[in-house]
Amino acid sequence: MMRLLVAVSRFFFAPADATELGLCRLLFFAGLLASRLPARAQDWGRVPERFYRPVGLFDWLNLPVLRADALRAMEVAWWFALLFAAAGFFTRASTVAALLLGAYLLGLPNNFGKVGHGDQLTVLIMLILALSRCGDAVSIDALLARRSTPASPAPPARSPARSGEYRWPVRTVWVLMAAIFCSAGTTKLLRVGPAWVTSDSFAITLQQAHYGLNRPPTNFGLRVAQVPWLCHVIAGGSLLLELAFPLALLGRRPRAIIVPAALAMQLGIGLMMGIWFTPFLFGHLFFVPWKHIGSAAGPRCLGPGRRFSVLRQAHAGSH
Amino acid sequence: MRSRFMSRRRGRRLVRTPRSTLPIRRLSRGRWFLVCALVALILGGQAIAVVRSEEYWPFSPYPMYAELQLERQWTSIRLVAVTNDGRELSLDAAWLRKSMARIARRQDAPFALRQALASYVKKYGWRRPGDARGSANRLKALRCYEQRWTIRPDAANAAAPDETKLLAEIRRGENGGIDGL
Repeated sequence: MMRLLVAVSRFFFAPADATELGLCRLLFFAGLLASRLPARAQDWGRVPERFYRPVGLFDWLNLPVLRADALRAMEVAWWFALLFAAAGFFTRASTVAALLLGAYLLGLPNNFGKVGHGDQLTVLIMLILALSRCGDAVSIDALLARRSTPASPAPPARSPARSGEYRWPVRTVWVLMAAIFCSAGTTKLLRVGPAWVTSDSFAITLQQAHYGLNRPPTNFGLRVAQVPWLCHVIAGGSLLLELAFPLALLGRRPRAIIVPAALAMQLGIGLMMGIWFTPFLFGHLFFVPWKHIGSAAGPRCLGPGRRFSVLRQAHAGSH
Repeated sequence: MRSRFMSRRRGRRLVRTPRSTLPIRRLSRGRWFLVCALVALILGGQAIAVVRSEEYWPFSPYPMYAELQLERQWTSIRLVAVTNDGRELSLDAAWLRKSMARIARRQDAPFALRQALASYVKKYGWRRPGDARGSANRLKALRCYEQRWTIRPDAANAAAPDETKLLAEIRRGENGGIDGL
C-alpha cells in the first residue's frame, strides 16, 4: 500500500521543468481560440425558451440563457481571455476568466436536447490549468518577472525551480483522458455488453451514419460494413482500447502505443462516420513530449547550438 | 542535483542521470490537498456519471453508440419551412432534430409539436434563417416530418426516404399570426 502511494505521489508530484507545462498552456489556449472563431454563441440566445432543458452545471446553478447581445459580448471577452492565457499575460486571471466564460459558452449548446461529448474535456482542462502555475514559463508574465527582478550579483535564473507544480497539471490531464476513454468503454459494456462486438450493430451503425445529418466525407465506412469479420475486429479493438486507456498512465511504452492508437481511432470515426472529436486534440496535446521533440528537431531545424533558441527567448529556460 | 525521480534504466543497469541543474521547489501542503481534491472530483464525477448512466455536464458517461443497432431502419425528424412560392427549406440542426424527436414521442405529440413550431415562429417570425429582423414574411408554413429509410449497404437511397409522414404543421394567418392557434 505504501509503495502504491509513493508511486502515485511520484506520478503526480515528481519535480519537473516549467517549460513543458508552459508549452502545453500556449498550444491549448491558442488552439482553442483558433477553433472558436468565428462567433457562434449568440445564436443560442435566439432559440425559443421552450427548447431549453438545462443539464448538469446549468441545472444545479440555475443558469439562464442570456440574450444574444450579452452572449456576443461574453464571447468577445472569452476570446481575449484565451489570447491572454495563451500568451501567459496575467496568467492566473486570464485562465480563470477563460474557465468561467468558457464553461458557460461551451456548455450552453448542450442544454437544448442534445448533449455533445467534446467540450466537457475542454472545460475540465481549463479548470486544471486555472488552478496550476502554468504561467511560470513560456509566458509574458515570466519575461516581465525576470526584467523586474532587482539587480543582484548572481545572474537571474533562466527558469523557475523544478517542482511538482509543473508536473501535476499535465498528469491530471492524462488521468482525465484515461477516465473519459474508460467511461466510454464501460458504458458500452454496461448498456450493451459483448454484443456490441459480436453482433451486426457496429456494421449497421457505420451504414446509418450515411443517413444522418453529418454525412461522412468518405465511403470507407460502407466498405468496412460489408466485411463482417473486419467490423468485429474494429469494434473489439475500439472497445479494448477504450477500456485499456488507463494503462497509458503506467509507463512510456504503453503510452506510446495507446495514445496514438486512440487518436487514430478518433480519426477513423471522423472518416467513416463524419463525427470529429476535435476537442480531444487538446487532450492529446498534453501527451506529446514537447521538450524532447524540440531537442530532437532543434539541431536540424535551428542549427547546432541553437536548440530551443526561440523558446529560450520566450523564457523557456531549456538546459 | 540527483534524486530517485531522475533514475533512468538503460538495459539492465540502473544509471542515475542528472536531468537538470535547476533547484527543486516542494509543493505546499495546501496545494497538495487541492490537487488531490481536483483529481478526486474528476474521477468521482466520471464514476457517478457512468454508474448512474446520466449526463452531469461536464461529467458524462460518454454514451456515444452505446446501443445495440440491429434493425436496418433509420428514422429521422425534420423541420422544414415552406416559402411563399411553395418550396421547402430544411431547418436542420442536430439539437433541433433531437428536441423534436423527444416531443414526437410524447403522449400529446400532435399538440406539443404544434406548440413547438409556434414558439419557433414567435421567436423568429415568418422569416427564413438568416433573414434580417423586420424583413417581409417569406414563409407561409412550418412543417414537421418523420422520415423512414430502410438501410442499404451502399446507402444509395439516403436522399430518398421510403416513407415521409407529416406530424405537424402550422400556417401563417392573414394577419401574420398563426392559423388555428
